[in-house]
Amino acid sequence: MNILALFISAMLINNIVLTKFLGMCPFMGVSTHLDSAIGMGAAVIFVIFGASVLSYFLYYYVLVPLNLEYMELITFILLIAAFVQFVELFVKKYSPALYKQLGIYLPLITTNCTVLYVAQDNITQGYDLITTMVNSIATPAGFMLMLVIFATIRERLNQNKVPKAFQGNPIAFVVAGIMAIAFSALAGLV
Amino acid sequence: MSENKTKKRGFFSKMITDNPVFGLYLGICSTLAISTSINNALGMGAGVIFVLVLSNVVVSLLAPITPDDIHIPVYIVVIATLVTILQMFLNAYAVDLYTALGAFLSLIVVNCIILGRAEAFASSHNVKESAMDGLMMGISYTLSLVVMSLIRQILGTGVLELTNPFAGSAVIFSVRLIPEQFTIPMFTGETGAFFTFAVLAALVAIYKNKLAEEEAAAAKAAKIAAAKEKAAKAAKAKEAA
Amino acid sequence: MVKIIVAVALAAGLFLLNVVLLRLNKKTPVPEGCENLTPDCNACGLKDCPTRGVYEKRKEEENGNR
Repeated sequence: MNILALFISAMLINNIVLTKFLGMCPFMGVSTHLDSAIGMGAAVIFVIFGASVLSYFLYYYVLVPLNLEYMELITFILLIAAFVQFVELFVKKYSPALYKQLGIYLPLITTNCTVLYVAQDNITQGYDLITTMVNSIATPAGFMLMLVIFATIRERLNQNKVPKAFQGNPIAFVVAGIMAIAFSALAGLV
Repeated sequence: MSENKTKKRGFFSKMITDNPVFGLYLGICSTLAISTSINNALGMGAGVIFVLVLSNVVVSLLAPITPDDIHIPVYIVVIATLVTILQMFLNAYAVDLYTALGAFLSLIVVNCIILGRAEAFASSHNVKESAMDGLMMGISYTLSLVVMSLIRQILGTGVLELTNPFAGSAVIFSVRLIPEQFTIPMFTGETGAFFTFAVLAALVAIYKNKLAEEEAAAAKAAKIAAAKEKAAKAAKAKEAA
Repeated sequence: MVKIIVAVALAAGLFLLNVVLLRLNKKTPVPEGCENLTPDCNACGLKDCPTRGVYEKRKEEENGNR
């Protein structure tokens, strides 16, 4: 598959939030301010990229030669958890400025389903290293796009009257539904 | 809210307000994705009950010997092992269900309900209580999935159908409730999932608000009664004086 | 048999890596000026989530100041 086509497809057409319903928790919780949406999004892009590439090597250079493919789930989730810890440690120690921007979101990311999903998706789709890298940047980029769009919508939403029952999370789902309609129009792009 | 008050309410009412999906917003990802048909909902629900009960049991057994600071990796290993067992079982005996649930089966590992219960409940309670808690949570998760998938399947396809996943998806029963020209295909898609969820979550919020109002009203009435009694006592004391 | 031992060893190795990194991470102090930073998040209903606790405290303070 053409790399550009893959990028656009993973980011916009098969958007992870709107078509796979993953990463709903940060979508609802963190997207209240534009700053936090950008911080969370950037942290997710970085973690997914690193974790996916590491999982790729773990799968094709350790699990496949040893015939241990059934250990995929356990090893991947442990690898992701270890990687997140490592990134947090590293950022804390060497870049306080970066920690201020992204680091505080890292503890929320271990249990974020998008990370595990992308790492496993690369394997099930049989992507090679280059496509894995492209997919692991494009998918979280689509996630970040959603967070940013939604943060801006929410800032407007706060100034409007929402029925009491829909305040908070329910209205977020209505907005997500409308956004799903809008994004389904992009299906013919590639 | 005090413990006694929540205990006084009925089991069913508690099932609504403490519902992990629509009340606490846990495990939303799989709920939105899996609730396309009642079959998937029941399969996923059974899988989650299996993992949740066993993980709660194992975590409560391991709790006394787990050092405090490393409990998260321990939970992750326990849950991932159980999910792998579940995956192998479904792959061997119910391939259709396995492919229908797809990635969401392995995403049970990062489902907040299971990690949350392990941390909040199983780590500090005994085996029996933990197993019961896992069963209750699992059942109310399954119930939410079933309600949502019923709405989506009936409105979207007009057919209510149940198949046996262990016998090559043999149809158990199938009823057409809505003629085909009146179905709303949107409900089987993403938009329908989001809208259905929003409406159900709003209904739960309405119920919660009502309960809170009732409680506030009861508290207010009690306060007024107490004040009146006090005034009466004071008046009596004055008279006596 | 050897395969099973290798599998267990792999999982145990990754688990230990996790534990070591977790402990190291806990030991590393938070940089100056970041001590009280937590993300604004109240998405889920988990009442004992530490992030949520901080969020609600801050919200209350904001409301109190108004």
